[in-house]
Amino acid sequence: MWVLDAVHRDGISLWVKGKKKGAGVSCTNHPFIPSFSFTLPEDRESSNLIAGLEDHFSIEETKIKTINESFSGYRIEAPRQVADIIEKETNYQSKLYNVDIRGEQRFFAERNTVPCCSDINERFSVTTDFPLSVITLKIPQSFFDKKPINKLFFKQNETEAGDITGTEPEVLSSLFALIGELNPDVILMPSADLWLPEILNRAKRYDLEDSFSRNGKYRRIMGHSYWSYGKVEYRGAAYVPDGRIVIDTAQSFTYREGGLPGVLLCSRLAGLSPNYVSRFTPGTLISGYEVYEAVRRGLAIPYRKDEPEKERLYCDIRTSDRGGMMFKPVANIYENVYQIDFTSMYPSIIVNYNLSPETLTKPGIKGFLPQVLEPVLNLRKETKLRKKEDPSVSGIDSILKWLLVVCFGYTGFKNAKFGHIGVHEAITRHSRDILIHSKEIAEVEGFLIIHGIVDCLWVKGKPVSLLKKRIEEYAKIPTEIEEYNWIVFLPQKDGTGSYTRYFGRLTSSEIKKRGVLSRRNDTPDYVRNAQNDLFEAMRSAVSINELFYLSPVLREIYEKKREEVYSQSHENLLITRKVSTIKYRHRCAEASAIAKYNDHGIFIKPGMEIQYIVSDHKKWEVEIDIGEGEPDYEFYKKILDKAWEEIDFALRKAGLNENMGE
Amino acid sequence: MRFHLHPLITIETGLFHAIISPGEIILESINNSNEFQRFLFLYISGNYSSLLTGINRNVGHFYVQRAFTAFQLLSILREAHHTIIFLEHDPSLFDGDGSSSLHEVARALKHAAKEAAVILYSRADNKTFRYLSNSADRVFYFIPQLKYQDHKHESGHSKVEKQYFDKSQAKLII
Repeated sequence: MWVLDAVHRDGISLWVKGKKKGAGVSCTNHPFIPSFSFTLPEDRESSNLIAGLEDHFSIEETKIKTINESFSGYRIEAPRQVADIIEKETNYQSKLYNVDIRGEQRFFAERNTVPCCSDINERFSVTTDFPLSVITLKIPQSFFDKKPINKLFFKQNETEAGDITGTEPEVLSSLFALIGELNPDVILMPSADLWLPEILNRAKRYDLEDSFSRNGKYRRIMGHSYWSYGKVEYRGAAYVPDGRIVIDTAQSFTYREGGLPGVLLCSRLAGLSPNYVSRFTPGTLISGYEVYEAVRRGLAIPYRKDEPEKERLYCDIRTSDRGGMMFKPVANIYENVYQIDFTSMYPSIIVNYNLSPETLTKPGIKGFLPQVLEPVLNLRKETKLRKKEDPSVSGIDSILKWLLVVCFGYTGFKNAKFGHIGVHEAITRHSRDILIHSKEIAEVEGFLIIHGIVDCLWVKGKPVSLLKKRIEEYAKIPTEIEEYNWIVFLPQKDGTGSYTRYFGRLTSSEIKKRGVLSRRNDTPDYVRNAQNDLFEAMRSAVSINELFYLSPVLREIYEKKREEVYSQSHENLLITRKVSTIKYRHRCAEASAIAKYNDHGIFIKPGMEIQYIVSDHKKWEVEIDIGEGEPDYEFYKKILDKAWEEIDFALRKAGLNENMGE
Repeated sequence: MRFHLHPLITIETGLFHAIISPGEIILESINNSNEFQRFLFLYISGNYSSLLTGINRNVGHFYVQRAFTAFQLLSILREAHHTIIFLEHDPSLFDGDGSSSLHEVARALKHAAKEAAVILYSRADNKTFRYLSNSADRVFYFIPQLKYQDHKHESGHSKVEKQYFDKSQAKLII
């Protein structure tokens, strides 16, 4: 049974796809009554509460098994609201389990099945072949223009593509007819989450019957701002149609990284509909996967995270909670450098050292986290190898990489169901040991350490293959080597080397760059393209000396680009920023842009992206309408100058190198 | 039992105290007071602490527990057995689902103060702090006095260059 979509309303509706390509979709309904487990404090009031609950719900005594222990409790067939009442009635002294698990996910896990594959054994497979029909839609105008939709593009495959034009009712009517006729399983559409509610509203106005949903029903995901890795993000609201996968290709992180195979893999791992996984963050996905695995193994999942860490002396906390290890580089240019990169270091540590909340107190047992992460880690190792020969696996590899990256951070996340700060600290402790010991191995082998950060070392010396072998033997984690002809570590403001800003030429002739202006999201295309052109020119230099002799050519490119600012289109000067707040104390470009958006009836929330062109940087005046006003060219020249400074630093250091005759 | 958190503030076991003040005042008290070293002192922080990194290494012999959720905070308060319990308020604990437990946390603070000196501390006033401090026995507000550096410009106009907190001029309202 290949389940395309699953919906929990009164029961569970499964949208099942026929096995062959082009086969139809059918819907089957299954009874499902939500239930949860709980324990109560031992007092007379608890007996009264049980008696009261028995009058309204089916309730039975049961054994509750968590990752830590087993104990007696109750199981009740009741909705979540009842759990909240029990909590309040017991002054938060009751313990509740399996309250907030999605119905369809629990349905799959309890039956040991998953969506998006016909056989549970294919769950961890690297398959990119699916029995799905896919169409792509695109509305060639900005959603925020609020103009009638007079044109849209569609594409079913390479040969069947076209556009629909006409008045808005004609376009919408034709769109619904097209969807009805082609009956696609998947609709890929940029900004679908913005457009779909609008299309449905406008269709209602014209008395048109839409065909996005296969039964006319939709689920609604509410929009909200949230914190992620110290940044405010915004997840927009969405309408999710029943029985058909609609992916917002502009917003979906999972689709952007993994494509459709990546989305379907996440569905199989987490036991959730592709409609949801395409809208979830990697953190929610890895959490979903852990929840699915726990339910499948009959483990109860706590509703509230109320188990605190043990009290510790302050001086002990200072030494135990220190994060990843870093060796600071000296800002300079270096020749013939190797980068040794540990593959999935943190998840490997979880698995190798059996780190899980329950193993902190019972180290002898096999922990829940290592058990569930091991197959994902093995799958990543496989995709990392396979993608070199089969590029279609790259998407799956990329999404697995992200799931494994966030699984570490998730252990320290306050609401993580299977997180524990002790596990988080143990992981970083082991990672520090591994990096320090690897550095020592390298030094014993005669290598010079240039830089090191968390799971990476930059070294100079030979033979690197022997060093790789020694480090892997010690750490029991695979590594990857990249070889640079030359590499530049840029300075921080105080002149010392930056940990994360560097660029260099790999022996494959590719320029690898991190943290430079062209990599930043808020850099206008004009500056990004100019710096990328400079990097492109630098590719021809295979040594520091050759780079030095390129200086006049590079400076000429820079000066030419500086003059070209006046001929740039407004699109190339657009600055895109994600706002973390909408309340600003001082005047700045973001505050001016937000005010302008408000004037246009677009209300910005923290985590949303805004775009603007700076028209006067002294007064922080901006334009949000492309084509309006005159850009402040001097402002854009200054950004270009900063991009040039990064290149110029390398050239100056190369010059010193040349003068010293190295 | 009585302790001095500040020359102007005496805290007592059996009472729940709520304090709003600049961090410098609390840090100075913790770093320089012997009293916190002599008794069982529990420092409870939330997801982020603005004070902990400012505490000297040589006074690090007190206990710390970090509450990452309101429910963990409840468990910590219910199990605490210390003479002084210092809670650095973190409003983010009460975002989302945590908001439902605010009333219970206020009760737990009051309950813990039956046997300990409980101090709820915040740098700034906010909605959740106000709710919790409603059940406090004593509330202290330090009003920072800002000093202004006045510079005369060539034009003769005066411009405020900088504002900074002057600890010695802090005013206390009880």
